[in-house]
Amino acid sequence: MASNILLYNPDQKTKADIIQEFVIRHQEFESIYSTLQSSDLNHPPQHFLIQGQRGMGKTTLLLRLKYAIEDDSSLSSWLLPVKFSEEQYHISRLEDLWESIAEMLETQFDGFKDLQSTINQWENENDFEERAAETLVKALKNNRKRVLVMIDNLGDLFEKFGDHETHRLRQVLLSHSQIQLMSASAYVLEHTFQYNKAFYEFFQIVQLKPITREQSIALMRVLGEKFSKKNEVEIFLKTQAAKMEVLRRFTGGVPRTMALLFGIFMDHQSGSTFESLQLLLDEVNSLYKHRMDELKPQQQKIMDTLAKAWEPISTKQILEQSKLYRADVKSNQISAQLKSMEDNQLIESIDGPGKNKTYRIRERFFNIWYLMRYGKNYHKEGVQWLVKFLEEWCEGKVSNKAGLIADKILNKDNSPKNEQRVKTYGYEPFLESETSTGLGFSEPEKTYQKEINERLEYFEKTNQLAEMLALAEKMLEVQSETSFQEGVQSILFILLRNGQFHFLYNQFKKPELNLMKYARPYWYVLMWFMKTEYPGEFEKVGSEIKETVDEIIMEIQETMDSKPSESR
Amino acid sequence: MSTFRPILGNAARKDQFFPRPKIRKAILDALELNQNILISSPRRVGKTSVILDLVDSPDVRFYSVYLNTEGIDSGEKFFQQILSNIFDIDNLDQFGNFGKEAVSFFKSWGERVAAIKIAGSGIDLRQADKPSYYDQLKQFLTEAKLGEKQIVLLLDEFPVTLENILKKEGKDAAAFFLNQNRELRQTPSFQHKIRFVYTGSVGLLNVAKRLDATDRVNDLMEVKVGPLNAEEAERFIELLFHFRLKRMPSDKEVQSILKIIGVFFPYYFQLLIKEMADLADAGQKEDLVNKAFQNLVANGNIHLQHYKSRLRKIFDSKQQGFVTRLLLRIKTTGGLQRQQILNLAEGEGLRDELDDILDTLFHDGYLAEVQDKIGFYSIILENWWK
Repeated sequence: MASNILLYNPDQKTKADIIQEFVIRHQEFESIYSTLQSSDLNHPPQHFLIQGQRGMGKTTLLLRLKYAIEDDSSLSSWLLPVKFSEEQYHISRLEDLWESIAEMLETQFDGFKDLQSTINQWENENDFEERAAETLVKALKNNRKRVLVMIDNLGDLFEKFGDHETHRLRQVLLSHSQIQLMSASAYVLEHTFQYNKAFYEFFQIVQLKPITREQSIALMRVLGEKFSKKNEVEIFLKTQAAKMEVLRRFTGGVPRTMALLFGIFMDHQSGSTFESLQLLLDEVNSLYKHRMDELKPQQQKIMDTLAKAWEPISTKQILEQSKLYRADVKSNQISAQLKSMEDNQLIESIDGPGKNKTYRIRERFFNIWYLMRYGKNYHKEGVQWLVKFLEEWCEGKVSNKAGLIADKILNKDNSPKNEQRVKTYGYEPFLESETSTGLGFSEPEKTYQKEINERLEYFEKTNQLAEMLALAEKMLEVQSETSFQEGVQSILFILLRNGQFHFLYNQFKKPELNLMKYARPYWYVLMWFMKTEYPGEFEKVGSEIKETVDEIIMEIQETMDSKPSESR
Repeated sequence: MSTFRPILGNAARKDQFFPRPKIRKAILDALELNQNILISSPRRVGKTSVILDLVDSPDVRFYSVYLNTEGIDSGEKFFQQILSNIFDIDNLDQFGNFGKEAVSFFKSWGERVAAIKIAGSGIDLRQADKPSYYDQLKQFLTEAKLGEKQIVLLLDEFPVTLENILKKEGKDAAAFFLNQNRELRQTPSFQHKIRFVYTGSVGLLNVAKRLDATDRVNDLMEVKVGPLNAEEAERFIELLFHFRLKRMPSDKEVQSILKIIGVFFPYYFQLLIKEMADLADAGQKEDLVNKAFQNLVANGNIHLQHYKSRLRKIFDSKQQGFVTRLLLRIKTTGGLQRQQILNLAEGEGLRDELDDILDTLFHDGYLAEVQDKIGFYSIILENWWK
């Protein structure tokens, strides 16, 4: 199975493996590569910055580009790629960078003999850096070459350099066409968007977005081929695509995590989505635990509070919920810790209206890991219900159930009632179908749910909205008592479609209904519809549910548009 | 111009450059009148590309020498770099307009300056024995016989250099450095030999003000590099479409791009049309312009939020309240004139602080003053602002 060591260190993979496994970042690759192909020595080069969180494929993309240049005789005749390892502990000043480039040129390419010693003869001079850069540029000029400097963590380098040296770096890049940067960063660099920083809007930025469902399928297939599990993968994709889709959303579409999941899927074919999630949590456990252990005690406490809150919370709420006030900690001390944690990319802040700033853990899957490892039972149940919710939603999506059911109903029964149902729901999650992953409903429950929906629809059609709300209210209560929650989605959907936002808001505020637990994404769908009344609330949606929330909003809008006028 | 191939962020040269003939003419006219120039404009408007055009397509009267100075933090390094760039053989060859005598004079001076550098690196040589590059430059200008031609020094990001010196060596050293520059510009015997063109997005006048040294820069003539006009913008859109999307834009696309961009800074056309091309590559066909713009705003969310929260750090609460209202007002009106803003500031008791507040908003990339109107610097920020 895929070795985890290689998963975390693409640098260690062979050239053949990188090329063979490169299936998901084609568009980004093509865009960069075509720019390189159309460039020449006589014009200033385009400098690039590839942005994407850990595991998104930055290093792999850099390596793929490096190999493509090496294999392209016309490009490699003048463009020399040198790739730095992911951590550049030996580089703390700009001259270190020039020396390292010189070393790689000398050892990897012809024509740069003695370049290092030529540079080193100036090392005791005050202007060593300038002389080093000058010597390097001159050597490249004499050879009629350009060096493509591939740096993985540009942000680390900028931090070490400070303002003066970054300006100096920009000066060199603007003055000489012989050095081109192909850099990457796991976070958005202040240097690229702060107006008074040297590298403000200097790079062409290539954003590595979360991979899509189609890309995750392609990734599974290529891994299947690599590990001789081609047939198993095809069967898996046919029968358990929903499981993969739920976990793709849950883990933020990070290719490295999807590759970890490949092993889990293959080794535990029959496991439920939730079981696969737990196995994945085992896989990332030591990495995440290490991250927690490295924090100072007060920061650990803040992380604990943020993780358990799951939703973004304010400094004041952090102080209250962490109970740090008992240790006489003041809110300005919390703010200082938050600032440092934000700088270290552990958390992120969300600006609300006025001065309302809230915070959450940046990597959402880390939050889920924490809840499952250190949360109380109700935290874990929250995660479990979200998995169920997404399963239910994705089941309709991935197996194209909507289409299947629509065909089924329309072919068998052309009654306007059924046609309307398919139109309004897009799909009907409680009807039986061959592709059901078995949510475990019993027959009477399904019938019961159907009845509720039909009655709600009847009230909706006949414009008896007050009756509809009364029934919905009752049903939500009954469902919270019977712990049969799957029907909640349909009720909420109908209410939203009818614009009953305030009613729904009131239901969410009833603690006994536990709607935040059973139907968390719908809260954000509601906040989207109520963004005028509650500005800044929708913006708090976490990436683990954002895609689903967007889809629900879109479907509701579509059904609103297509609703026959008599039911308005 | 079919070979036009745009570049993002880096300076555009030769066929990467979208010609700005009016600005070029304004610079050349001022030089013809023996003026020294300060080119000021917000970042990303294309100052560097405009002055590099004078190197790549040289005017026969002027030998253009480009020097980006933002990494320089001492007067000595500054003058050393100027000398070494003046004697840069590649640049000299490219100019090709000096007679043989002048060229050999340049070459011998080049060797002389290089020798100082090598001698200066000996550990036994005391610093005091090393000739000053400033004096060398003066000496060179005294001796030089350039005939009808003049050297034009294009000093890019000069205010950053001044800030660097201020930070490293203090106020007196920075003021002294400005003095040296002024002396070179004002020495009568040098005036027909060398012209200075300074550029900077950080206001040189503001830094000079802090040093109580505005009298050392008040001889500079200011040339503003503004946004493109509508006609130029349309042509620019066509060229970008040709390069990125391999087709011509429809009239509807041109109009909606012009409407979205509002103030025609070249950078934003580039960004938008690049995003459109990426969407098209991903299979998107409908409504490319709006979708691309939405993406730019969505992608910028993190840094846009940063701009908002930064206001809290740079202004006290009274100023912050005013700035928040001002920015919203600017967003809804599409831009205000200075006197209208003064009126608002007066209403909030901030008349005396207004200049500093506006300078900060310009300096930090919130606002830009274009054609007597103060508006958002970035259309993306403007669209997102709430």
